[in-house]
Amino acid sequence: MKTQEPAGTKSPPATGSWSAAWTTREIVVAAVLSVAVGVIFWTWGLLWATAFAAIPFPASYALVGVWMIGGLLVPYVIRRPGAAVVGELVAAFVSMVLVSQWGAAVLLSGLVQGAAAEAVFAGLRYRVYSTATLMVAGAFAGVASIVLDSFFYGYWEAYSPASIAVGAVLVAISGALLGGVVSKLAGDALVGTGTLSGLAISRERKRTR
Amino acid sequence: MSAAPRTGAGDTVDGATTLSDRARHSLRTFTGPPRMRVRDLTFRYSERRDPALREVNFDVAPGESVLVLGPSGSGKSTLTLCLDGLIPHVVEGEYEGIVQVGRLIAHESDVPRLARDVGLVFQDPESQFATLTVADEVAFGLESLAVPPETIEEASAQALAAVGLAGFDGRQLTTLSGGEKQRVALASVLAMGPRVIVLDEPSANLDPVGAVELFRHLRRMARDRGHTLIVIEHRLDELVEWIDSVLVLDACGRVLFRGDPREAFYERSAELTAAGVWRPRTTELVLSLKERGWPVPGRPLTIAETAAALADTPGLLRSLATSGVRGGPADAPESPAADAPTTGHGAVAGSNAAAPSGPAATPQPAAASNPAGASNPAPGSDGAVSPELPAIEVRDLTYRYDPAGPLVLEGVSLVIPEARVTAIVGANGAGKSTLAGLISGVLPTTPGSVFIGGRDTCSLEDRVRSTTVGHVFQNPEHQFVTNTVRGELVFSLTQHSSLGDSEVAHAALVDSWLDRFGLSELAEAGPFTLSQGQKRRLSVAAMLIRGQSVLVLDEPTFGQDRRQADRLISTLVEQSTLERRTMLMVTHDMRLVAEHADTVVVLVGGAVAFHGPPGRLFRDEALLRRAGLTVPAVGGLGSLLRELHGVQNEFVAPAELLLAAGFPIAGSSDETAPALEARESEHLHPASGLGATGTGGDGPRPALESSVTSQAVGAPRTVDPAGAPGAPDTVGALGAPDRDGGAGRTAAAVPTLDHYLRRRNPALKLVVLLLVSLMLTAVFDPYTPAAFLALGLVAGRVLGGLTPWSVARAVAPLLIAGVGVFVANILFNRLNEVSPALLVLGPVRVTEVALSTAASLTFRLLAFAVFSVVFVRTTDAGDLLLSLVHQVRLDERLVFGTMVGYRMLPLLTYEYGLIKAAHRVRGVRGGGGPVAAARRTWRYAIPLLAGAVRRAGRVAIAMDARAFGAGPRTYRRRSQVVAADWVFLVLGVAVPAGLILVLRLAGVTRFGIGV
Repeated sequence: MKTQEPAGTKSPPATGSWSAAWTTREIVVAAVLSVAVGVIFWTWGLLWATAFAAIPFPASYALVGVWMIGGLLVPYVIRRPGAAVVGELVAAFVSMVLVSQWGAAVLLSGLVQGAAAEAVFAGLRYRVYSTATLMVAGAFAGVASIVLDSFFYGYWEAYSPASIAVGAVLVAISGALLGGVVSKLAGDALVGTGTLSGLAISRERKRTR
Repeated sequence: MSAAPRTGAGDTVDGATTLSDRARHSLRTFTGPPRMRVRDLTFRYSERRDPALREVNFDVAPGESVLVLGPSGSGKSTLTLCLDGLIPHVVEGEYEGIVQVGRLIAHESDVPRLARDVGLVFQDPESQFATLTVADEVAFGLESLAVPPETIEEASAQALAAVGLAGFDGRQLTTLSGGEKQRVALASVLAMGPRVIVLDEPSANLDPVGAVELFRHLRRMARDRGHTLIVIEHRLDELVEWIDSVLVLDACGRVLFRGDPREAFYERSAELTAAGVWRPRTTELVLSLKERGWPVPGRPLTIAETAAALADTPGLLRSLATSGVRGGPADAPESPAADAPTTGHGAVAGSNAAAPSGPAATPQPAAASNPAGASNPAPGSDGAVSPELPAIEVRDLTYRYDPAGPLVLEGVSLVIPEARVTAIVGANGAGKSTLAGLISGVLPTTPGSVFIGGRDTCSLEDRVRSTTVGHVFQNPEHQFVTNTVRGELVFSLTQHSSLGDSEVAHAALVDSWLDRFGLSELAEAGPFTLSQGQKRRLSVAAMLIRGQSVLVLDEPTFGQDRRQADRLISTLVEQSTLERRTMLMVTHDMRLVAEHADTVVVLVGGAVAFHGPPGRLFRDEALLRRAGLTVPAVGGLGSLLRELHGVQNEFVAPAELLLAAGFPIAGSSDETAPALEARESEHLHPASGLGATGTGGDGPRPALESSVTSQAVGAPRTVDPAGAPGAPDTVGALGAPDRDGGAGRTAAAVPTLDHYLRRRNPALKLVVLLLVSLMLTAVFDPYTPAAFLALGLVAGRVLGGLTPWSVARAVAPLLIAGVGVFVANILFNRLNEVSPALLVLGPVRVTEVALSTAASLTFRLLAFAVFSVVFVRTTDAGDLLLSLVHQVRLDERLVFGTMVGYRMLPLLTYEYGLIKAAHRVRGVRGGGGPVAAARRTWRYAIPLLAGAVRRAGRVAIAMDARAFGAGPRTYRRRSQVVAADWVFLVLGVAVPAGLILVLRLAGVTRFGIGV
């Protein structure tokens, strides 16, 4: 196994479950990427609590986009229905296990953000994974996150509707850039290492060349 | 073919086999291993241009044991995947030909069916495990085949017994040694009842003793004839004793030879050498003696046979015993002295130490014979530790990764001579890599402990140190910092101030190194796209080109084929003698040590147990045993000759035997005669050793709560280059926050699972956790979340057995988040305008609402964290998995796959630290500012992810090989929901809800920020 990568994978055996479309390799790669993203989530949470702590409310949401990566990078690489939800939720779970200031509430954030991104990919029938798609999905997920947070943290009481709206715009941009563009770059860099051969992302790149 | 199986059926008297036979019968009736036929097999991976295998034809008789050999890239691993149908069923590509297992045609059958006939064991046990415990791992394949639970228990127990691990069921995989892990992997395959076992370099990641353990069981299986064994392996000396036949593939994936091992290693020896294939040391020795005119009788393969043959060679032993003769017999065509290759001082010193009474018999190499006139001092005659300038001095070095952890090194003092090849050996966890890392500065040292060239390394700046000491990590990918092969070398040069800035000079120098390492044609290729062998050469070249005087190499020959290893080692040895560079190798490869090291340092439990010439080490059997080392073939031959044939002890040192056979050993780097090269470079043996991820006994542990505690990923303190001790870990499953990072962590730290919370159903526990967290998000006064915080700590103590102190410690770092919350609210809360100020600090009004909201949110986040910590620490990862499948009804493939990803969490943290250290050693400079930090992180993250994805692919293949996802699984045990769990659910919701109700009625709880 040391020199040879499992290149190319065929459709997995049908088992009747919805993950039947995923090959084992896709499942495990998605899991590993999600876990890695979970560590990023957790690290970003620490920064959020320290380095970014002094950034006031609506402006701080310009940094939230990083937390969308799970729901973007994983579907960008795997390109299967459910990948965005799985990626974001598993990453959130990992950040919870690593001890996060959001505890189990982060699972809900993960679910909501993942579902928002998933909606965009589903809307495009899981066929289009361009930079624009990732940016739109990131923006969607970002907006979903601020909506959820408004309930969790009482923004609607503590802040004016205008500043929440500014926050929503900022988080959408952040989701598009820190989430979408970063995921795109990371996915492409990984393809460059040759380790993703056989997965949808490298098959597509080969076709377009 | 001499592969006449003695019996067709596998029912033998051996207890273990008989046991597993019963297991097999309970799966289906079967009489013996099937015959295997491979006809015109050609396979090309869909993304490669050239086929990996071309028109491969061979048969394997029932019960035959076949050794598969071939250089890197010859398609050996591909062949293993073809034999059990993963190709073409799982891995895509162009497939032609027929693989037949008994009556099954592989491409017409399916993977689950084939998995019952053919089992696959991979190189790195860490990359094939899908679960957390021994019992779950062994049951994994059976569950995939939907075997009934009762049968699973029985078959598992029998499979474990067959590999000598009876009673290991309850163990966490992470508590096992490398050898035990690999035997678990074997058991998990055996449990499915296949009669053909294919092993792909099963010992490559094991330390010497682990490999011996594994081989002992394989040998028994081979002798029983109950299984057909097809083994890819580099450690031939142990294998030749029990293999029946050999299959050799060439570099293009064609069959080069199929048949009798004696014919392969004698008559076809030249072809095998040309193909870059490993051969047993014994046969090389005998062939070489024959070439030199000694009439060695027969074609001995095993060490015993060879010893007998040497004893029967007229005059050989006598001449060894009397003079340490180095040439042929008296009537040999050439004069021994004239022919004797120039030996390096180290080897001679070694033999001198071995034969103090006969120094005159050992020709001293003249200084002039050393090409390039490097002024090597005359070799000392007092042993290998010569009184030269010490390159490295270690003074009473004691080290532990964690202030509370066990000592990894204890009072190590060493003087390592300049311009020598020194090997550091020892069992996994003995502290080898730690010592190497401390010397190279990969790990931080304390002043007064490590000196290089007389200077305390503590006083050296990073930049200076990186131009003095190089460190080649075991995983070459960790060290790549640019996008091209050429870029890697140029990067090294530009970091080196003394080389001047001439671009032209750089270009010429880079070209010459590319050429020397056979990388010229790949100059513009991306480093990550190279083959393993090429990657390794590049990482060594990128280090060597900088001209550091000291070079530390972690398992330099790991994963290399014969020719690659030879090339690498001859360059290293040459660099050591010609350029007077000091080489320090951490290795498990005893053959490398015996033949190329001038000095060996043996570590046992973190202390130096031996420091001297290899010749002396290999004669000290008590020490070898204590250190978990083995004697390489030639050493074994020496002792056998001594024992059986009364050859005088001192004179038949391995070095003497090798010299007698004309092998230029250690330190002889003069490659002036090209003819010599082929032979000289036959000494290498791919190191066994830690996997890239340190899988030995000390690898990272899988656990839900892996890198928990406050250990920031950004600052992993455990940076052990080969992953020996210090890998981040926790014990058990979600459990204990233990992270002592040394060999000391043991099963003792596994939490006892008898507390109330630990026994509750994980899914229901998760539901309670979520509901409690949701309740918390609804309240905005400071007192309610404070009460929840207290409730969480009390519940953890009373129901979970977690001391409030330990929970608080895990949560404490989050207090800093609380500070941010206060600042934000005091400055920006909109309600500040309408709230009375409690304190006015210049323009800042600290209002009541700000303080109360901030206190509320701070207590909330602490309470969030406390509840999640209590959940994590009282939940077993395996139980959670089962519960998610059985109660939550999540997709089982997805849950299992996610668990595999989860196992890699500690590994990710750990590898991040490694990559960081590796980049630092390359001289990658830190820069200030967030942009530089982001760029650095990106550089670390990509290799980290690439490595993780590659590993994920391997685990997936290993899971597919055990029929994962073939259909609905059965489960060895089911997650249960008992009445007590429902009670817990009700109480878990009612108590916090009641708390809120009471506080609300008391007017404390507020559901909005309010004013």
